[in-house]
Amino acid sequence: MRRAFFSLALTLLVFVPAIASCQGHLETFKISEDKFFSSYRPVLIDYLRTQHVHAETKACILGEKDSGGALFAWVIWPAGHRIILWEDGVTALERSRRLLDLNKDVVATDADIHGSDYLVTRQWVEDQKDKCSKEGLSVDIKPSELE
Amino acid sequence: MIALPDESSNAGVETRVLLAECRGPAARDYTFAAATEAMQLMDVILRNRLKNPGPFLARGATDIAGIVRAHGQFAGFETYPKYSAMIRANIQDALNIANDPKDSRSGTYAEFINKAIEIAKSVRYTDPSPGTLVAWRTSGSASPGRAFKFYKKVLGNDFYYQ
Repeated sequence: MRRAFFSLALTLLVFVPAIASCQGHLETFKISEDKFFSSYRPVLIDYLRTQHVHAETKACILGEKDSGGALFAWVIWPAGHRIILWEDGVTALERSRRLLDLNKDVVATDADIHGSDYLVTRQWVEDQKDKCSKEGLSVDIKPSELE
Repeated sequence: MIALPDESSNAGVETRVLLAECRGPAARDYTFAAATEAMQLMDVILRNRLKNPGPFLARGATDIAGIVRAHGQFAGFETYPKYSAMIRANIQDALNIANDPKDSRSGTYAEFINKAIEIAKSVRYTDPSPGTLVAWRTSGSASPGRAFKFYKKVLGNDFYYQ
C-alpha cells in the first residue's frame, strides 16, 4: 500500500509538470493596456446590440497569451450564457470561431468531449469564471450605451 | 481571381474548415509558415479521422463532410453543407480582400487562401506526431480528454495525438 502510494506520488511528480509545460503556460495580460484589445468597450457594445440587449448588463474579460505568442481574450457574459473567444485581429465578437453557448456547449467531463474542437467542461467554465474574477476586467454596460 | 473548390467536394469542405479554424493574417502572431503548418496538421487530423471515424462520432463516414458533420466535433459545421453564417461571412471577407488588387493586404490573404486550397487538394500527407494526430483545440480551452496527448501549439491552436 505504502509502496503504491509512493509510486503514484512519483508518477505525478514526474508527469504532471511535464504535461503542463508541454501545453504551455498561459499568461494573463491587461486588455486595457494592449493596443488591439483596449477597444473592448465598443466591441462588447456592438456585440450586445447584435443580441438586442437593452438592459444594463455585465461581462468579464480575461486576456491571455500562450507560449507561442498568440494573444486572445475570453469574454464571459453570464446574462447571455456565453463565453466568447476574442482572438487578436477579430474586430467583431459575433465573428468569433468560439461563441460558446453555456446551455449547449458544456459537457460534464472531458470524457464527453470526444476530441471536439469546441466543447468545454463545466470545470473549465468555472475555472475561467474564477480566473476572470481575480485577474480579468469586469465591464458594466449601461442601457444608454446600447441605444 | 481566387475561388474556393466546390463545397460538395472533399477539397471544398476541407478548405472551408481550414480557413475557419486557422488564424488568418489579421492576427499579430500570424506568419505564412505558421499558418501553413497549422493547416497541414488540421489536414492530417481530418484524414486520420476519415480512416477511423468511429471514436469521433462519425461512424460510417466515407468523406470529409461526414467527418466534419459529426455531432459536436467541428464548430459551425454540424449541418454542412449548410454551415455557420458567421464562418461563411469570415471566409467571404477574406476572399474579398484577396481578390481586391487595390487592397494592400491582398497578397497576404491570397497566399493564405491558396495554401488552404493546396493543402485541401493534396493527395499525400504525413503525420508528424509520435502517434496519430486526431484533434485540435483553441489555446486555453483545455485538453480534449485524458486519452489525448499534447503534440504542439501552432498559431493559437493546440494539436493532440493518440
